[in-house]
Amino acid sequence: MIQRLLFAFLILSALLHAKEYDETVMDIEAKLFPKIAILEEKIAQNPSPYLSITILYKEADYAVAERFKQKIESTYPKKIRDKNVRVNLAQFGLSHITDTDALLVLAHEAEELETIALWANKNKILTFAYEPASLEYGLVSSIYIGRTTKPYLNAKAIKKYDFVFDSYLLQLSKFKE
Amino acid sequence: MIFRALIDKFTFYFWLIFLVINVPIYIFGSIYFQEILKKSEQEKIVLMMTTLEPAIAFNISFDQEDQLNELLASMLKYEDIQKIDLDSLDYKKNLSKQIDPTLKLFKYEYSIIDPFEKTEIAKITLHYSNTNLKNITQQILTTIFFIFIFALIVFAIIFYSIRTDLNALKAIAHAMREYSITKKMNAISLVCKSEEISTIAKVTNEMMQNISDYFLQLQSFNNELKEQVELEVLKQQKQERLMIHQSRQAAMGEMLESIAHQWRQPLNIIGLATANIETEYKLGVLNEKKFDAKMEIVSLNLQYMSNTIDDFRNFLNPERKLEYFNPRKSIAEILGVLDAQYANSNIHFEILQESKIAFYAVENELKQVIFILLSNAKDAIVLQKQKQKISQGFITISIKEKSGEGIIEVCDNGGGVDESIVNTIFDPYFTTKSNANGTGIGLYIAKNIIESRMRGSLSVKNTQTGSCFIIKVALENLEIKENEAE
Repeated sequence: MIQRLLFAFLILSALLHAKEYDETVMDIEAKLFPKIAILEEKIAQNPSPYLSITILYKEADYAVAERFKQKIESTYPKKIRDKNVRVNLAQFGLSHITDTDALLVLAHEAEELETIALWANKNKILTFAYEPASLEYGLVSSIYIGRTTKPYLNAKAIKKYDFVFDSYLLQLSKFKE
Repeated sequence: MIFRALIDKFTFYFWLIFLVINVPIYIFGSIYFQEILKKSEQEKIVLMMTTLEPAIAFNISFDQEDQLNELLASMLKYEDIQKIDLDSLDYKKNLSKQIDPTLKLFKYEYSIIDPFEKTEIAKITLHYSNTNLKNITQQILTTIFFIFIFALIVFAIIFYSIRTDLNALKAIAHAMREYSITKKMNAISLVCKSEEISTIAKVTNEMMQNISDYFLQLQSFNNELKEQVELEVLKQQKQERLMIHQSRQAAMGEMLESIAHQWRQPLNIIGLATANIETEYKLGVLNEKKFDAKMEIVSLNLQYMSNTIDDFRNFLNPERKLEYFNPRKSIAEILGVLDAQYANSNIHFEILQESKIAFYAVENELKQVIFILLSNAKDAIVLQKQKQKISQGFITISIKEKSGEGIIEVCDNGGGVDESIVNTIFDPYFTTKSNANGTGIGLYIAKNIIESRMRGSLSVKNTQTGSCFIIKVALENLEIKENEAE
């Protein structure tokens, strides 16, 4: 009985800590993030046949990460600009993350987001944030949802860490100063 | 005045050239220039689509409808694009202007390729007109029209300002065209502002005056020259007459010598016949028969002497009567006069007549020529005999006809003419005779008579033993000469 109560408490606790993810936003992001990634110069010039995206999640968001992965893979079953899209999942810890072109960062604590952003930017790994507000912590890109939906780019991070995007993308993006 | 300037003959050529240049420009412009512009317009549309296609593709790919609408709207602002149709999986858009129904629309379709998957994600159709082309053509034609009007005004003003000078030039041209060396011309009088044209007029006047002066001088020179020539001709004629007279005098002298020779024998015979008449009469031995016989001898010899005198008188007859005569007879008469001298000098002669011909001339003149040639032949033979180069003289006179010419050749064995003087023996006062017998005018007179009066020729050639003088006179033109003589 105690075991059952403990399990229920853990599940409830996990559910209480878990963030709510909008399916529509996830669809849009699943569609746009690989496109934004492939328009970054370093990624575009990478000879690897894969566009490797790692979804960085917290344990509570595992199911969301899985769903995100499925959405991306189903959106791009074939190649995007001669690269197959490969999506991996990873929990915060970073040390075990290797050989990835971009990080899709789900909900994290502010300090964690800063750590992720700093590490990724130094390693020239493009970062996507589910929440546009996460760009505040140094992540590079997200999706701006207002009257219209636009790619949302962190101008400071782009300038500071020399990310180079296609000019057409820059023309249609919104920038966070 | 401006209107007159525009339709003046001079300006006609300007307008002709102007139209010849501008009309082809307009025609070729209408045909080829429009074609080029049309092609250029199409190229512009293609270039615009090629440029905007990535932006459209990105907007579609990133679902940027607002920006896509803005982009398409900006495309529609281009003057020639009348309508845009976009057909994609997510969007169907039709943007259009108020289309003028009179406009002819061209359609251009373009596929929008997804920049990520390289597949066609939309098809855009542009409907465009040639409004821009029409506007450009209109502008060009308007420009040409204004250039035309501008040229018209400029030319009219220029022509108006230089009309005085042009009229002055016309007046000069007219004066020059009418100018004749034999016509008295009035000086060109101009009212002209241009210093250059005034100078031209002034110089032209001076030039015409100079030419007139020179012409008068030339006429004066010509008259003087004519008078001098006439004077010289008269002198020459006088000189010739004098020379002919001299020649006749010389011939007379020679003929008198011949007559002396001719008369010596009959005078001897008459002397012998009459020597004993008086003695025989006193002795009473002169009977009638004997007297008649002696008188017969005297009469015959006197008749002979009388004939000789007649020949002499005929030769010296100054009458110049044109008539037909047989040259053989004339030659025989001359030889008759010279016969005694020739016999005395041991010179034999013969006349060879190959053709019977008749000359139409003054017979005495031919006789004078023949006499000169025969006298010269005799003198040459005598000289050769004195030098003991020959013992006997021979003179042959041939009469023949060849190629319509009567030819008389007088050939001797008198040693011939030295080659160094053969071209000068016919010159006046040229003689080879060292004594006083030679006047140097005989051959000159002979050549003059044959060439000037008988319209023939006299030449000389050397033979092995002597020389041959050849007289050639045309026979077929006798009638013409007869007319000229009249």
